[in-house]
Amino acid sequence: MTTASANERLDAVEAKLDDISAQLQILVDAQRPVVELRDEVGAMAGDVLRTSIEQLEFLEQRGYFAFLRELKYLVERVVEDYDPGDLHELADNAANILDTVRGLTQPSVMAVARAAADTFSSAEQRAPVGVIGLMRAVSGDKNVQRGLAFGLDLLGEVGRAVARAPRMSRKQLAPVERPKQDAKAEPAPVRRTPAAEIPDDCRFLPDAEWTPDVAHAAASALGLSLTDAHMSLVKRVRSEYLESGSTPNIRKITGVTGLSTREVYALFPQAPGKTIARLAGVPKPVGCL
Amino acid sequence: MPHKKMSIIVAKGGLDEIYPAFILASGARQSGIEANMFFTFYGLNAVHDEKVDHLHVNLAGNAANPLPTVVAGLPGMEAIAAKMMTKKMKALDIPAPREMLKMLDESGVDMYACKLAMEMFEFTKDDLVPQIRNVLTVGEFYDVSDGGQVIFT
Repeated sequence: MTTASANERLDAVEAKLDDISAQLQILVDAQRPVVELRDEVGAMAGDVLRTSIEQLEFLEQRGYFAFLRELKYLVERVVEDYDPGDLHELADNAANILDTVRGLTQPSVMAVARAAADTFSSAEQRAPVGVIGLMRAVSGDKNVQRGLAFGLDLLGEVGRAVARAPRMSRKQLAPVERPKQDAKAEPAPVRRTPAAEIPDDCRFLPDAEWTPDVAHAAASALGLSLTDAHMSLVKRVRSEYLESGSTPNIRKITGVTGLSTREVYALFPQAPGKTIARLAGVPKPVGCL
Repeated sequence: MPHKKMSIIVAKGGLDEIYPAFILASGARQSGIEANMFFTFYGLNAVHDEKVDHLHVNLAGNAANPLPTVVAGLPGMEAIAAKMMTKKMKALDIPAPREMLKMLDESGVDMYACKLAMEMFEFTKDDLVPQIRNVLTVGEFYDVSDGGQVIFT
């Protein structure tokens, strides 16, 4: 490094230091009014603070803070019960609400409201009115008729507004989740009462397999001994089935044989229709009678 | 068969109200089940000798009936409906109530009338069809139905 270049650098540093010193002076000069201001403000602020406190105390005495505390409760209720979407809707409707309020506070409307309020205040002095009184007022009193006309108009307007109004938005309920199910998997079985078992011996036996001996054997298995009367009934039921393709029920049996229900039950006291079908080698009768 | 005895209480007297009871009782006997029937209140009409042939269908206040209730309440409507239903049942070979009672009796259904309701309507046993075996108090009915199932229709 040469001496000349070292001197140059020293000069530059010196110049920089001068700059900084000048800026510091500016800052110090600028600080002075602030200090003066603080002294002045300090004196005034004491007064302001005192006056403010007096004012607040006055408000407290007048009950404003109690009112505000209640207002806070109201605001909390609003915050809890309404979500931002509701408030947006409220804002969208603000113009409507203001229009409505303006309409309601027109002098003519207020006069009607005043009259109604006056009527209320003297309500207890009125005698009760029955159907006859209602009819008389409706048919005779022009003012009641005018009020009725107004009431009907109002009802019509309300009806039209209801018809026009979109459905009120309801807070969405959490959707119920469907149990996840594999499309290929078998659906879960539904619990059912087991079907009544159809006895194996109550089925059709073709002529090659059925003889009166088969009937006798089946009867003794049920604890019955068959007489001729039993046998003729069993054979008749079998031939009815072979002819018509369906086993006659008891009502049909009594119809075709001329036996009474009592006689059929006397021969086969337990479930005659089914017993006869079993002995005759034909299916159980169907039907309810 | 888990239940070997059925006792069916009939408390209403419309055609549409007694037939289910009749069919239940007859079906029980056909299945080898002991069956009792106990007729009480308007159910007594179904076993009253003079009324059993003139039972009507319950129309008014019946939500399953296609007629408007205002029309169903007109005089004669229930008789017309009863006639229509009787005709339909005849076509299906379902016996009329009186014949049905006879059939039930012959197939071994024991039929009883309620003593209190009889007194209320001022009926005597002679007013009833012969198939009614006896007039019972509720306690006696419980004795009869003991050990079986009771159905109230």
